[in-house]
Amino acid sequence: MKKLLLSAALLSLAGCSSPRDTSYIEANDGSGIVSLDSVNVQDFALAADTMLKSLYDSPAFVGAKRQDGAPVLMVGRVTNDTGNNFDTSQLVKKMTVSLTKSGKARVAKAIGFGGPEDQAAAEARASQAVVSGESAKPLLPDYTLSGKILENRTAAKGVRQTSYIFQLSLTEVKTGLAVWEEEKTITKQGSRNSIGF
Amino acid sequence: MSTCSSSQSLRFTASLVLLLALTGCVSNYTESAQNFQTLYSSGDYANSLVEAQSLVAQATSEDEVVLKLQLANVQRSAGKIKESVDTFESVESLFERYDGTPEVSLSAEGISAFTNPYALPYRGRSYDRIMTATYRALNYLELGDQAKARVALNRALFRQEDAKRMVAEKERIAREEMGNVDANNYSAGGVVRSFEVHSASSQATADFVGLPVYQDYMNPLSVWLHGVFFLHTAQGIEDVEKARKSLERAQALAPQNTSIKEDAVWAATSGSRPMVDGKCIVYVVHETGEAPAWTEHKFQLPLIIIDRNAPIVSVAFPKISPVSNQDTLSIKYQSETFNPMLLANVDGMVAREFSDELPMIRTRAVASATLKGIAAYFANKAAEENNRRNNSQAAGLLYLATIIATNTYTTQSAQADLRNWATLPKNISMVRMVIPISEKIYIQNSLARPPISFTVPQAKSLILYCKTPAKGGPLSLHKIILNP
Repeated sequence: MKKLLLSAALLSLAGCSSPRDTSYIEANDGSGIVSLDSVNVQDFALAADTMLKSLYDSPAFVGAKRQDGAPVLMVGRVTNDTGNNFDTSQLVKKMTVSLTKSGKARVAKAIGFGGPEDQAAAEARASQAVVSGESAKPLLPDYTLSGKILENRTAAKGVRQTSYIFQLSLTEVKTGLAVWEEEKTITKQGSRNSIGF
Repeated sequence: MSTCSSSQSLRFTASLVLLLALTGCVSNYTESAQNFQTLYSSGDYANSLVEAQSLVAQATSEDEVVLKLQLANVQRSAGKIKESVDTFESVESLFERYDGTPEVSLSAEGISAFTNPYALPYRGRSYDRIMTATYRALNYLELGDQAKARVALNRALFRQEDAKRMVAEKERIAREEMGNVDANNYSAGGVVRSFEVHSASSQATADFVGLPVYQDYMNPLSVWLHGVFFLHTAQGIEDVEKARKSLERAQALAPQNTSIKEDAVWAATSGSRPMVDGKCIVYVVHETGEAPAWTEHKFQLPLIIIDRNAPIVSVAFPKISPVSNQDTLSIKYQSETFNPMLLANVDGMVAREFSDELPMIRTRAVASATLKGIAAYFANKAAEENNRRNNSQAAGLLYLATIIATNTYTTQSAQADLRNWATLPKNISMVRMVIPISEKIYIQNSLARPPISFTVPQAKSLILYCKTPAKGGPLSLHKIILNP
């Protein structure tokens, strides 16, 4: 009888929990919330770090200078082929920020796959050409960056595993050949046991 | 003497307190959903939308998923695709939240307190989750967002893989809970296994015969859509390979539908997007009828105590039955007539998952009712003892009132959980046609109305997603360009 009354009370109390204090954390120091079924911000940070290290270690940009500066890079299609909606710029932006800062490449904004990334820059460029009476010079990239993010899921004995596979390629426009490619797999495991009342 | 009397009085009070504690709120979910369902089935999407919005606005957190699923579907049927996208996204977030929290496995004490199944949240069945991802993909495609449609279709495939895991989890919980009931020696286990209970639970799906059983909980609509999407929007050979796999699976799931074969052969042999010069590949998909109707089947449990104080105990199981109001569709182009062939039987998916859930439902409902019966018996017995000791008119009336109250409670409080995504169709069929661009096709359902004409636009492939909620009901049409 006591047990029955206790369980009724327990059920009525179920769902109460104390809130956790809010604090700042670093995106890639491993202290963020890890979820099995989605790509977390630290996954993008880890993938981008690996990709950038690989790219800087490769001879991809060696000797690829223009008269007016570093080679021009255009961001191509990076396909999200997972089961989660997210903006692939969370990966790509980290790459282009680092490349621009390092002076290895300049990123084309007034052109882009499926339309310019910076519409205002594209329109201002066209207006400038009209004002100066000269036709705008075609902005051709030296390299394009494209890729895919895939997801692979499996489960066995109550443990679920999800892998996110980040693939990127740098293609030299002049030759149409890939001059750098990298793949980084991030695997997470977890289980979801039932809770007893 | 006084110790004995106070002990009796304490037992009597405790029994009444327990009965009150076990009395859950009786849900009015079915009544409130009925009006909406009637409007939806008649094809009155405008008014059913108002009704669904009102139900969602008043929803408890336990019913939020199921009511939002109804709303998202009626928004889609009413042509409010952006709103439907938002509602489905909100449902997806709830699914993710529930996926991150454990399933509840009840101990014997938990089961005894489990008076009202509506007190547990509706977390979404596997077929709900698969259809949600599929409708999301169709919505995104209609809005021209192929990137998000790709993600939603991948999600639909993952949800099908999850379905197998969820079934195993439910089987494990059912075994665990039955073990908990047996271990507590309340005789409830024997009642759960009794002939009466098994006979009643076998009635739960008795109205269905010859339903298809889809391998590995796959949903043929989702698998086929995955295939045609990756075929017609292929960004490379990997996508064509994905399409081939899905189309071959869809062919195996719906062997009677010969339209799938042509695409499967193309994907296996060509390695590129299919196109026909000057013509458009048109897929007409027809969604019709209503998913199984959920009703309550109440019956009396066998007595576990032979005594005049033993109350009559009722238990309620959900029961599903087919709704036979599906429509047919024909498409005319010049002198040719095309009839969509069965792609997916939703009744089959619902009935299978319902059968998988039944052992858990049975244990919870019967064990809970039995334990309530035992508690009521002790309350009656205490009232009888009180009457015997006091031998007054008041004590006699109290005894009578207790008997009436406990019997009313044990027969009337039983309630089956009837929450389900009722706006799902009964059948989905599909036909593939190759029609010259700018030509007209005529689409007609069984009602003698002028057929709807559709001019084939400048596109390489498209889906015409048609819906009739019931036989002779209004025909709604969604145009989805696959390859412009």
